[in-house]
Amino acid sequence: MSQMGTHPHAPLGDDLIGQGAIKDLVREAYRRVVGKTSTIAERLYEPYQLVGLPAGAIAQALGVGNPVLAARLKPGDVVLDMGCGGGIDTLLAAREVGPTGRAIGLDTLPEMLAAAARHAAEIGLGDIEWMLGDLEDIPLPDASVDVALSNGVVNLSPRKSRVFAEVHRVLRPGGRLVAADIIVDEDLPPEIFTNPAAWAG
Amino acid sequence: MSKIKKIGFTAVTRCGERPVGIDDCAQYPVFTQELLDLMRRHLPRERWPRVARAVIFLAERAGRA
Repeated sequence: MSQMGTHPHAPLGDDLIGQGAIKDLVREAYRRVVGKTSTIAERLYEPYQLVGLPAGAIAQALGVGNPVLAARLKPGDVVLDMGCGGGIDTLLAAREVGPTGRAIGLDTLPEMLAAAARHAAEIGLGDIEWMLGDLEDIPLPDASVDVALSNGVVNLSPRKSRVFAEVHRVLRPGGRLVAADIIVDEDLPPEIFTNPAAWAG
Repeated sequence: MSKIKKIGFTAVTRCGERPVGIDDCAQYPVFTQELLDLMRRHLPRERWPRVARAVIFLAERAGRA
């Protein structure tokens, strides 16, 4: 598993009120995920996509859509899966880009990366790169990625604009962001919006 | 979507959309029992199956590959 080292981009600025708390809440919530159900994966993915995937990767799927399907990846593409979790989208992407491509799973939790790497090894996808890092400070060089995938992850960040700026930086000209996320249309009552979990969710 | 365009992405499009209800939210770890209870308490029952929408959007970094 690759570890995030020092890289040439400026460090994050001062934290705004509540950002640290939201990040902690998200990390703690996802640390507790043990993957007990395949309900989410079965709802979001095509049956053929799930064939051959490890049960652990399917059970740990916590996305909100199927960005790999929408991305129409090509053999040889360099794909970054932002907030890869248990790795389901990274595995699917790795199968599509093939041995001439490159699949990179990025997550902020070492536990999730370890699980994702285990899942990849189970099906012989040992070439996937697993990176520990923050979406707001992606540990990749400028213009190094063809397709960036995100599945229910950007909405977990308290600094979404920073995340989008980072994705823009690492994408090659002509590169694509394919993101599945949750949008709340109508204002929810303040009793809900003031709950910290609502900010993260 | 506006945030993405402001950053400089082009060809921003939305594809695929499905409603997200409180029961869907319950499958995700960041939605605590407390938050789910709050939603059920403060939202009318007819809104429970649709408190948000899950969308997929595509955006492109300008320039030639």
